[in-house]
Amino acid sequence: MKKQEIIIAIWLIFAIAFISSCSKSEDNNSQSPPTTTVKAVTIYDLPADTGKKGIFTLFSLKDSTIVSNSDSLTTKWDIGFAGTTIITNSGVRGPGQGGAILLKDVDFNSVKEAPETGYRIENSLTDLAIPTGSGNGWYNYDPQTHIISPIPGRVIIIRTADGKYAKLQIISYWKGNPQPIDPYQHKERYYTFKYVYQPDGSRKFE
Amino acid sequence: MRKILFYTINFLICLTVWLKAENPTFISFQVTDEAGKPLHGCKISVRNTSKIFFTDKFGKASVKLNSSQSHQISFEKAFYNPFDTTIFVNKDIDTFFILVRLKEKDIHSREVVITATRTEKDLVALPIPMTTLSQFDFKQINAKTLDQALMELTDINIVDDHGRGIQLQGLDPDYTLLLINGEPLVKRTGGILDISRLSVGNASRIEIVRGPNSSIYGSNALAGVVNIITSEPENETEISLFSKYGSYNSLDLIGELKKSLISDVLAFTLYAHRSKTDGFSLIPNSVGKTVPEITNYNLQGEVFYNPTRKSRLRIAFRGNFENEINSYLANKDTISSNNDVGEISSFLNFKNILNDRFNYEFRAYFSTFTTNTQDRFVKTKELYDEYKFSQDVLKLELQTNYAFSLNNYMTLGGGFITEQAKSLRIAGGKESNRQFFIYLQDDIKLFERLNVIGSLRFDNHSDYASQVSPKISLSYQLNKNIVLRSSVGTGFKAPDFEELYLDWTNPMAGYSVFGRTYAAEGLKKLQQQGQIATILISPDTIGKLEPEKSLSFDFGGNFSIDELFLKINFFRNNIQNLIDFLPIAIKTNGQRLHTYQNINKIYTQGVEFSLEYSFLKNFQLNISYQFLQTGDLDVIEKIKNRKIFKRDVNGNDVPVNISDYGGLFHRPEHSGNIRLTYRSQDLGLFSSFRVNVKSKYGYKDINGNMILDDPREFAPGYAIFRWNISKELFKYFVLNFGVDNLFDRKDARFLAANPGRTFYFSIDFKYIKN
Repeated sequence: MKKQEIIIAIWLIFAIAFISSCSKSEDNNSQSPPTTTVKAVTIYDLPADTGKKGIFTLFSLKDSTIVSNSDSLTTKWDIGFAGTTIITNSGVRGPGQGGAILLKDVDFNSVKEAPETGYRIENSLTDLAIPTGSGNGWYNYDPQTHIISPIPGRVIIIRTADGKYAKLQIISYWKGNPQPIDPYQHKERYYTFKYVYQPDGSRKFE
Repeated sequence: MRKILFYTINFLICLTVWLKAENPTFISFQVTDEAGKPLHGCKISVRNTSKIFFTDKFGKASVKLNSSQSHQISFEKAFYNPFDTTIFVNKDIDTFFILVRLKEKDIHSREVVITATRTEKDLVALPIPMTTLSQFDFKQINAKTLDQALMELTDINIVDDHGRGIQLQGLDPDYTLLLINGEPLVKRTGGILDISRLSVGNASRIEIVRGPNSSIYGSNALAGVVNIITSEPENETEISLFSKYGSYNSLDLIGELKKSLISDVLAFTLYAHRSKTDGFSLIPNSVGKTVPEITNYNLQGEVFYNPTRKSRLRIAFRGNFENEINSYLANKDTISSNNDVGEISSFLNFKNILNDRFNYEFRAYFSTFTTNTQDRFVKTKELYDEYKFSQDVLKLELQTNYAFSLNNYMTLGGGFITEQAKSLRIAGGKESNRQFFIYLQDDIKLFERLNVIGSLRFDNHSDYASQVSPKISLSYQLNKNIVLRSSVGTGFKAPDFEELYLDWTNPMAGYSVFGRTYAAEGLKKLQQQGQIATILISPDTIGKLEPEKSLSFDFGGNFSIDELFLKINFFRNNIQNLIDFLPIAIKTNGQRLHTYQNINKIYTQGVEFSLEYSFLKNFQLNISYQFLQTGDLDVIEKIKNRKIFKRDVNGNDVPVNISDYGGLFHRPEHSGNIRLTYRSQDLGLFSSFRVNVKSKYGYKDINGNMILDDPREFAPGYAIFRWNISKELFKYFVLNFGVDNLFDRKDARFLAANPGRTFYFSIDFKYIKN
């Protein structure tokens, strides 16, 4: 077997410089609620069913790691990728409390809070939480050039398997995030994406 | 008594003058036809005095004119050749009696344009903007395919986008109607009619009408109409042979025979053109070629029979056969693709002039078109993919023309079209439709200088809503040097067979596309098969597919100053109902089922400018320039509502600013052509140097929002130079040498259809027996 061919680079950005060891000062700051750490991560070249076998690459947003397909019936994973389809750990796909909302015409950074309601789940294999098809979900497909590209202004709010929240944006579908894309040279089905994960269970992203 | 005989330019008209002594000078006219029968209502104008009067029923008229000066007098009557002359009125002479014999207009005459109004019109004062390539041009330029011929016209924009086409006023090639002798070439559903494969070696003229013309031609005449008019036998025997060899092993062979069997009564023409090229590849070691290997045959035959002097019958056959070979990679397997295209058309035209006022023309046209593509694995010869399509068209049409008066000429026509298509991708494998149409045109001259042409066409089609297409155009002759013109008109483009009846599922991806007429039935079928998971929109709730429609306006004029001729035309085209995909259901495989809908609205606007200047006896300079702005009105609306975003270099998504919007793809804002020609009749020498310039233009979307809004999405501007020289030899031969793309401009990404520098050499042989 090949070695792990994924390079995962993780940036941990501490939004506000609260460190857990400072917990003693909590009482002093009782007016403003304690803001816990959100985790901002960018994942490079996550393969998504490159063999076109219909097998989802399962991913944990909390740990930023790939989860084995043998764990598909657990809540260890939050989202899965196969081709242009992205699934959540919910409904017919998994036992989790997952779900998603597709936000349109917004900037990723300006999304400060996940919506309270309106989450869609995997109702069936065709009624997905994140809509599929060009222009419906996260991507556009150009039939002239055969290029799949993320639609700017689209942000996916994910409810994780254990009911936490994250906001996610796809950056590229092509290996190495090439510019410009040549569909005859570059390899498709490799996701580069960024997300912000809120581990404390709140809907706030900062 | 003295008798003076004037002879005229075409010596078909006699002018006889008798003199009598009397003062002031009184001039009497009598106008007759060639047989001496008096002509009633012939218009006589004395140009230098602006006097206009008409002959009575004896063909007589009279006028008083100043003596001791010359007068320019013109005679005009419908269906007769107009005649101009200058007479000098001597003051010693008191009365002139002038007898004029007008020759009936030759039915075979090609000196006027016919495409703009479907009647013969004088090009200069025509209210509709037009460009022509005349017989004279054809003798010089050695253009044997439509693209080569049109490249000689500096004000036509040729584009390479999945085949070579004509982009008029910023609209795609399939918005321009292509005709041969007034009959449309079959619209190639699922393919593009490549004008580099259309032989024009036997054409005598090409006429290009700008702006919408659906008001007389019906569907597809939104941006303009290109009419190829084939040549007719003029001599007893004419034999032409042509051969051209060029880079990439391309070879053209042409033979033509024109023969008159009974002078002015029976004649025929035969024409054959074979062209072959190896094609080329701009990408080294690539599997497929950028332009494939092509062999093309163009065969034509025509019989001309004039039972009487006032009637004519034409029967023509045309065949076009083409084979294209290319290869490509699919999942690491090499696939060889073989495409055969065949088109056979026959055409019958009977034209009869009943009297001075009334004539009619009956036209029948039948065409059958087939295309067959077979893609096979190179290793195993197994079939990978197959596409078959065939289409038959039958058209019957009657056009009548009636002259109410000299200044009011009316055309009424109508007809019937039936089409049938067969394809594996069409619902039920076979579909047909019917269409009736009627059109009316009135051509009125007012106050001598104003010409108004109004036209209206009604199309009733079995598959889409009836169309009414009006147009009005007018021209005003300000003075001898300036003609101003303007028109407002509508155009439409009917949905094609696939948009109506397609039944196709992508074998790789699994999504389906159904034509709109078939959508409801097709969806039901998929539901019964258990292939439908969710219905998004019920096809019953959406109406019929509408044709794409345009409203266009233009304004401009012709200006001539000595050897300088200027044309300018401002235009604006608004097109609505553009046809695009509409997802109507989700299949159980997760893919979508699409049909078609009318959605987008686009506009194009700009200025066309062209200049012609002759100097130093043998030189001519042509310059043309087009300024063009385009846009999708729905996209503009979305941008204004901040509904379209772009990703900046830092990865942030920001709303697109309206100032970043670059309009439609493949439309350069500035484009133009410059041509310098040298022509010496004495030396039999002709040379032409041409430059084709385009500014940067939108190439493809890069930042994911599908619109042109990012500097990276533009292809750079370019200039391509061409040169050729030809020399007549030993009376019968013309040798021609040329270089295309002189400075070897190559770009595999942006100019994929351009092979870089190519050379060619050709020999033309022509034998004429009078």
